[in-house]
Amino acid sequence: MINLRITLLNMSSLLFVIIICGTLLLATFMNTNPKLLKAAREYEERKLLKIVFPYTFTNYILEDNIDVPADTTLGIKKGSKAYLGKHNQEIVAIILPITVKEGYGGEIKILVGISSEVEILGIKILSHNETTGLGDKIEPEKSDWLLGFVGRSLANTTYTGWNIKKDGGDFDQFTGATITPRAVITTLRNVLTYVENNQEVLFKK
Amino acid sequence: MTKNSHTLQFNKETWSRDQLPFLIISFGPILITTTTFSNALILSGAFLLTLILSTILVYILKRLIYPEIKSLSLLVIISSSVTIVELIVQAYSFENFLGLEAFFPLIATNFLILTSMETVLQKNSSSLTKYDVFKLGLSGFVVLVSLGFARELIGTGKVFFDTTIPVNSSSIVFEISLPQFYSPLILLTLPSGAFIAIGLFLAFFNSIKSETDCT
Repeated sequence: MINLRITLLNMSSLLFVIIICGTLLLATFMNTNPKLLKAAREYEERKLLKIVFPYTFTNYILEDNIDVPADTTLGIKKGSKAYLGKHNQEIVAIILPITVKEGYGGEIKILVGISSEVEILGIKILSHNETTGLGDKIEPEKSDWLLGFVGRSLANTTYTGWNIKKDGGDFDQFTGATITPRAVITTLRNVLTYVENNQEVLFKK
Repeated sequence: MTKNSHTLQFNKETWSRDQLPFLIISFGPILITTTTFSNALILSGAFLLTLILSTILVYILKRLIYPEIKSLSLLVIISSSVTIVELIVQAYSFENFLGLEAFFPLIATNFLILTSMETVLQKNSSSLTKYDVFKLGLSGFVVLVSLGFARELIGTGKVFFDTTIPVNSSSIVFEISLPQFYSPLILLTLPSGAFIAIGLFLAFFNSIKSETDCT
């Protein structure tokens, strides 16, 4: 009998400890969670903003998106979203998620920031399977190659200019890797054509 | 509370004799993250906060902790205070938290936290006092932060710190750079650099100590 009493006493006291600790935990969670969600959203947004760096926006980019017209060559499926950067209710830039289909190691997923003048503002590589040391120079950490596209548009670069230098174009190729740059350049040219054709939808002009 | 012969007793002599090995082993997880000043500051700050929070909790719940279920109760208290601190850091310093996620739960394994709880539970004159434990915790904090500072400065050539104060959301930014001709010693930012650095620290403190002992 004494054993049972002691066991019950021990168990109930442990239960009290757990209840008190749990209450404290819950109170902290309720207080900090809204802040955490806000911080996480701002962090994601700052990552996106790096793509369209020169502009300042008055809206939350992550929450402002539209459905874009499908395009199979760019890997834009029906129902794909583009993020909008607005300045005083006017759309000044969009961020399009696209897929480069003919990469050497398969698909390359990228985000492209394009201004309302149909100029490339910036590019972010989301995922790729290119060869290490050769094709992976598309990563901004490994080389400055991607920066060469900033400010380019169909107006300031001719159709043949959208090629690697080996094919008579404006852009460098990598030593030992021409397939990757070729695929990226062609896709970027297609993106600009796509944006120009769909300007009414994308920029609500 | 009845005296329990099974409990570990940390007395002053054990600590003064074997203090440093204990401290280094228990600070292992934090030691890994002292690659930059801000990482070291956040993690050892979290450690100090956990130490204080769990000790306060044990002090309040002292009457509920029976000797037979002591370890269970302490486990609950330590892990919930670690989680509370983790939530707070996550909310107020999200970007700095991202690289450190894996190391927060390891604070619970720290020796000093368990020791401080023992000191609250035991009214034994030979054991460490609360004051001693906090002194140890604070000195550990100072050493780790200065370790982070030294490793970042020597390993990368500059120290960069950027944080926002939660109270009035103003930000503190400072940057200290060594002159251009200095070439960074990358070894110190690698994991083994932590042990080299703490070895040099210990040598430095021991040399001061032995000098004062002689005179």
